[in-house]
Amino acid sequence: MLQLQSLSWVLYRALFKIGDNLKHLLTFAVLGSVYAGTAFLAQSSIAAVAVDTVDVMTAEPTTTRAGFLRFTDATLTEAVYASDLSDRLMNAVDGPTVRSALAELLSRSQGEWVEAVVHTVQHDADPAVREAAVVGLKRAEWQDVESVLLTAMSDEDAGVRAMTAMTIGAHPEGANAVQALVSVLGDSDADVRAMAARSIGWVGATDAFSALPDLLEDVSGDVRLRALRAMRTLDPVTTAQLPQLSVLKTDADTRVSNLAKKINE
Amino acid sequence: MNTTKRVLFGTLVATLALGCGDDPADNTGTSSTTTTVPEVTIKSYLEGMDEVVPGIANVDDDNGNGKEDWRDGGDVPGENDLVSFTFPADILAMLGEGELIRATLVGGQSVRAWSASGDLLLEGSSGLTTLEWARDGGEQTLHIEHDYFLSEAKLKLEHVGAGGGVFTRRNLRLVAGPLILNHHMQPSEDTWAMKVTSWGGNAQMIDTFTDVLGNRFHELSSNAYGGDVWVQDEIEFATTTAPGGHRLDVVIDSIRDRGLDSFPENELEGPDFTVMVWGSGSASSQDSFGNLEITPPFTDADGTEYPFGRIYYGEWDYGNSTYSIHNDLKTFMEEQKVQDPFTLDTSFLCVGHVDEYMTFVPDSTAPRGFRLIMSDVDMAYEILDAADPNISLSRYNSGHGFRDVGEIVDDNALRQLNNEVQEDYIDPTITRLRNTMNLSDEEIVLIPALFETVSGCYNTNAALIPGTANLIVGHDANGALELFIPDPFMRTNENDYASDLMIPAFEAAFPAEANLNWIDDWDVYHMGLGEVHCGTNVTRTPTTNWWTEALHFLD
Repeated sequence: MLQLQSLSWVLYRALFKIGDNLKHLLTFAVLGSVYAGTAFLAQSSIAAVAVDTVDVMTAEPTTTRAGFLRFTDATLTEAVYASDLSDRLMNAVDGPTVRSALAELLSRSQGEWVEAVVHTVQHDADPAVREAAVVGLKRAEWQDVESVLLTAMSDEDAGVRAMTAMTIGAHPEGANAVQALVSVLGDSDADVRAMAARSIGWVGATDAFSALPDLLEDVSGDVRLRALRAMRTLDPVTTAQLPQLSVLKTDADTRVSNLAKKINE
Repeated sequence: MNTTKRVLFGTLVATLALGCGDDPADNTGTSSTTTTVPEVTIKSYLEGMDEVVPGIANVDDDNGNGKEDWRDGGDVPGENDLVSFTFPADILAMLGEGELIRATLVGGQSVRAWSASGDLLLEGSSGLTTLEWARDGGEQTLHIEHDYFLSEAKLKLEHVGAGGGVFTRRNLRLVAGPLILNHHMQPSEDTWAMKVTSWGGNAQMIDTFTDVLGNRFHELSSNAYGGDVWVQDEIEFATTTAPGGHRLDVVIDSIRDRGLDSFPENELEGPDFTVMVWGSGSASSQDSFGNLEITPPFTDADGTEYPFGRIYYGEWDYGNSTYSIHNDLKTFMEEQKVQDPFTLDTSFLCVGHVDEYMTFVPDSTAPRGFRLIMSDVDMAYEILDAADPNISLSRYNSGHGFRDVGEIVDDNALRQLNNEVQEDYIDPTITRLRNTMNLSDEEIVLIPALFETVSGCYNTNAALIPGTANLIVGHDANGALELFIPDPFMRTNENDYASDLMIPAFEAAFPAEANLNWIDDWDVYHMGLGEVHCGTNVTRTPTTNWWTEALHFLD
């Protein structure tokens, strides 16, 4: 554009040397044409940019370093795209890995996203997608997600149950679901037990302290760790006097033994 | 001249040399005490030879025929990986009538020797195991070739009398150098990163590398490699060297085999630059080479010197399983001996790589010339707790769901998560490194960091604040230290670095001699669960000779 306008000026100067009104008339005609032309091209460019704004229905996620997919473009979190992204997720036209990425993206959206992600937790056929979706619900209002979280604690898939337990602990109002957490401390899956124990500590559920000591003898080191830490959080004085600490200080899991030693210092 | 005459002559020369001329300190003008010049005999020469004759593995393809040069069996145009061993003519000239020097190759299945004209002189598998050098044979040179790293054979040298008896025997070890991985104290040479225009792009990162490194920075094409931006993960650069300036660059090619899999063959492989793979089958995240790093050189508490540092990598425990680097590569690295690997627990990380939370940087003011840069969540909360909670953070809003500092600070679960990470993993890592490397407090520099659980990562974590430890150590054309560091973007005005909550802490932590280049890696790398180091790779200049500094590992 700048080059065309510079050319116009050169042309004007060249024509000026011819002299009198005809020259000026001709010059302005030429200049007008050139400027009109550049304006047209500029407008076309703007129009082209407008056309190229994100088409969320075909946007592709990128592969993270961990190997799973994620939408990394911040533009997609703008409120204007939330509705289309929600439709795309709920219509389940994409494969499970993309649906997981969509659910994660929506949890960061500035627009309305909760309904779509709740729907996904409730209805998606793929447990990995339900698992990815439930994590984002920590950002939703409690009244909008309490029911789905409590239901998801009974999901047939252990991964979904574990991530639900974790999400309850991460939610600012997760203390409202302490009973649900306590109810899965005997789950067959170690991850579920571990996340439930951890979340009991995270939400500060002192009334649930008595449900934790049995987990100090769990077969899973992760469960023992989470239970011990939760107990320390809820009641450090009582925890420091636990008779089990003498055994835990020599636990095969060094995280457990380190924590036990620290508590006993 | 026979031996006796040589001794007398040498003594005479030495005496005359020391007797002539005035000692400046001796004002009497008389000669001072005489010193005997050690005489050289065949025996003394043989016994004085260095036991180890260093060589180099001939595993590259100097003639470009698609085969390792060792397998060509000689006559390789452009061959430059044979190291010379010379037996001097003046020593041979000391041999008496009928005497000879016998050179015998023992255990020579992986070592052979050639003449300058390309004749095979010694090779165990061919039965060519013995050479005999006579008095008038002139200088004898063997061009030694090895088939692999640390391949070894014995060269037995015997001074044999006319009657066949052996006067003196000396066993030499013909040893090829180990493969040595690079550490951050070595000067950087060339740097690679991929240029990306989608997903927000990485123009600022590419421009910064170009501006600072000039033609020593190389852009990789996103289209050519399927947008696989994780250049650190696909390959690890290493070298093997020998006296006389011999150097072979080796790309350790991961079994990760994602989009960048063909990069080393396409753009790096050639004479003196080969690509090798250890392991096969499906890869875990721990097989990526952001999870394979090397400490600076150090001496441990027991006094063991590690002139090339030690390799360290992360292991990731889940249930009863441990995910680690492929056993073949692990075994190979252990067999190289000079960089004895050790492990760190990276189970708290979604990607699970050691480069996500720690690194080493050169610092000439440090006791041993380097500092450990280690993530610290307590430092991050100290800064954030003291900050104005209303500071808006647009990047953290779209990227992590935190609109301002207050939302991060007030997230109780986030704080508890980070306390767990510090207590269960970061503090034990510091203890492990302290014990392994005999680190002092002065050598440990803490930098603010926070982690969060990310959907898709189950209950493991990734950097919330861009992992500042995940940086690149480079040098400009003049050798000045350049650090390329992920920008934390802990500020409202992205153009106002001085207002950033974290940057002053980082600047105080990093060496004063370093130029700090803040890199916007947010869209392409940080949101993809990596940072600057993950997306970059660097060759470095070998600075230490294994044949003088690391023989204590090879005895």
